[in-house]
Amino acid sequence: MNLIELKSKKGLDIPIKGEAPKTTRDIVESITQVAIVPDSFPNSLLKPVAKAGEKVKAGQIVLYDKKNEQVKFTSPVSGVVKEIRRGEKRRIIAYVIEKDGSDNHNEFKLSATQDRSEIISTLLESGLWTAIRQRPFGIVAEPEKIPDAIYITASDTAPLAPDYTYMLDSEKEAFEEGIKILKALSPKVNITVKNSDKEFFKNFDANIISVKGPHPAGNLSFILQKTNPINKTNVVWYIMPWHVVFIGRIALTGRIDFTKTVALTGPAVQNHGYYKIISGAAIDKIEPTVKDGSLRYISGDVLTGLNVGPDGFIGFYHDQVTIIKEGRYFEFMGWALPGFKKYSPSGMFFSKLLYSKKKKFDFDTNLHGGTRPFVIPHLSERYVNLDIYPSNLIKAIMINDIDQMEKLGIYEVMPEDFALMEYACISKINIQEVVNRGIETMIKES
Amino acid sequence: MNSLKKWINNLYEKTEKGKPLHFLRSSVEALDTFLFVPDKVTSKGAHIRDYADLKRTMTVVVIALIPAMVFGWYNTGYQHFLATGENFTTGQALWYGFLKFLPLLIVSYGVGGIIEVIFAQLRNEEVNEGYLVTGLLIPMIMPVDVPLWMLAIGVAFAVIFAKEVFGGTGMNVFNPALVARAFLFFAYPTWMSGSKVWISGLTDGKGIVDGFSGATILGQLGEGGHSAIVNGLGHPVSAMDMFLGLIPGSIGETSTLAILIGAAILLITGVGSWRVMLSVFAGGYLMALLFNIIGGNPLMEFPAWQHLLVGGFAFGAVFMATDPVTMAQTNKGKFIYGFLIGMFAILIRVLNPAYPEGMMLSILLMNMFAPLIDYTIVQNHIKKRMKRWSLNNQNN
Repeated sequence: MNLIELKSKKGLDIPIKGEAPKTTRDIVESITQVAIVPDSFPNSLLKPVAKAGEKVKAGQIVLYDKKNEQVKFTSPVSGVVKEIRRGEKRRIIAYVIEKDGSDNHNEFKLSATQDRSEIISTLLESGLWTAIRQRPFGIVAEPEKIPDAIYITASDTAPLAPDYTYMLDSEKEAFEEGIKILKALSPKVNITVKNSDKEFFKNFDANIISVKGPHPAGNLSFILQKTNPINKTNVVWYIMPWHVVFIGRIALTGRIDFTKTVALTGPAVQNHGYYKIISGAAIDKIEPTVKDGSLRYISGDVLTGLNVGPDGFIGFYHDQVTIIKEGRYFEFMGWALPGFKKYSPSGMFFSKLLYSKKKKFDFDTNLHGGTRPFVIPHLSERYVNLDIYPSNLIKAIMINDIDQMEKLGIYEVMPEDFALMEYACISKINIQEVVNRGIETMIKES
Repeated sequence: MNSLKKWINNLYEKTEKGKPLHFLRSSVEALDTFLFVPDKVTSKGAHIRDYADLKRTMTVVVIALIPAMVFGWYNTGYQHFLATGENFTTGQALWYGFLKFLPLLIVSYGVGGIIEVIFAQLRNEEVNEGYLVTGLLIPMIMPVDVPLWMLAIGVAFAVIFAKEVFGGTGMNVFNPALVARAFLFFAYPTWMSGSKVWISGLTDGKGIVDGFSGATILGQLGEGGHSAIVNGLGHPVSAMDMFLGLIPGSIGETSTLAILIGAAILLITGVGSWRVMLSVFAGGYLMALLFNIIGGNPLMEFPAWQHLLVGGFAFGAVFMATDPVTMAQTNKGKFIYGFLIGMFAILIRVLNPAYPEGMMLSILLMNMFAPLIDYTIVQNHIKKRMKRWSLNNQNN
């Protein structure tokens, strides 16, 4: 086992209220519906295999990705396909399965001693292959590729990120087993962890890469740039800690079990804390939701999460739910006021002089200004911790110059790496959307 | 507040597409967002956004300009009363300068604002805040007696040909305020240089003390005599006077102290680039020091540190070179860009006394080279990335 320690200087920990205290409520029994949310899987096109009204077993294939037909999605529970919720252009926004309480399930054989190809095919059939993603581009891994390494990403530094040492404490056995399976896929398995979590993860048979510093220190792009730079010809795979546990459970019990813990965070939450749920559960099971549009329900964190609405479901790659107020209000001459109560990292508001660094603030979804031409990037670029020239790359994407995008490092980035820049952008440009567009272009081109 | 909002909503209705007042749409939008921060919420990407927007940022720059502007009023009055030999109080000097400055400001904002509105309407965009700063900068870098019609032409030329033809805010290559000044400097040289234009009332010469000279310090040095630097009445000028700004010059540029207060505001808020400011001063100082060593004429022998106090050097370093649109965008590039501005400013100033305003020309020159500096640095970065990749590929 090796230990690599990384430090990131650039970045920002946004002082948002609503951290989850370390108490877990088990609400698995109360969950009647789970859903697969296609928006969780960028650059995919999900098509149903099982139609609405069909009975399905736990572990039965219900959807597949039309862009990569090997990639399949399975039902986490035994039940009935309740509803295929569609949005604009008949795009699926949620594939809802209602639990029937029975124990019908598919059996899988998975062990670290199997062939690599056998393991891969079991993971594909069990739907768990979707847990393994690849860089560049953050899409579900292509099974025929050989990755340089597999990264288990337990270094979430996003605002109000859940504590993995707390969540995984009771799942060590399955986690360990999952690592064994991953090692059969690639001998190099690394766990990325926050510096303070090193001790916990040292117990497992994998390399540790620890990060220190403000968000986005824990982002995989930063870690890869330091430990395994990505370009056109090489790939790495990555997987989230809970999914390692899921894989471990298949090996241990022969069946899928998507039970996991998520953190309920954010300034507009009533019952902060950790909740034991089934992956894909509805948000209103962990917190009563209001439907008057006054609150925003986010699967994930405030910088990169998905706005799923009060009747939405928790995404596959999210271990956190954040609730904040919607900011639909006018503010009279707001831009000219001294701003004693307005948190801003910029130094343009007096709050900077008044509060200690430990003070936490309420945040809402107001844009705080109108969209403007992209000027003064130095005010926001300072929150990107990668060795790239962010605004040059963004401009290359805006003008769709593929050659420049390649040269300026499109293979090394994900939209999440620009989330803080987007937060601080005075021109209010949706930078993550631009980066995602660049990535989509690259996928199409390759 | 509600009635104000209603009134604006009413204006929106009147300027809808197809209605006769539609040509005022972009102005109504601008007025609306001036009065109220919109109720727009995030739709994509990060769900929360910082309070800072372009309006706030531009306001910060305007606030940073206020000390230099107010001191400019005072100095306008001070120099005027010195020339007429009248007794005066601080209040009178300020008031005199304010009355001289106000018409310039109104013309600058008026002409520039109207052009901005027209272009915004043509592009179907909201009028943006880009001109807020430029419109204040232009009168501050003018000689006080510049005729209003001339200022209007300069502003119109700069806004149309230096900014809007490139695509508006954020797209221009040259700093519009400096283009306005450069345009007037070359189109009407007698009004923009010499020893008469810097002090109010000197050009028409009525009621001026006999033998009073309005020459600037650089003008005096440029004439080549080895006599001491004097003010209009022939009294010597101390370095402290230069630092405080009690010397003839463009309205806003004379007080290094007031400019440094502005610099502090820009740096604390993070709006101004410290890399550019620092390297402009460093470049200028080292260049002047080099001339000090060579020696030969009064401009070359003028102490290096005093070079930074006179002319438009400090003002240019703090408010012009740091223009976020026209400066180099890469961090390393900012150092090179700033350093060369400082160097060229002193070089032009010292070796070509016909253009004592070396700062203006130097910044415009470097505006042109900023993209090249950035290009070189980004190319270097690209090479580094390629190298990292090939090393990585060998290891695997």
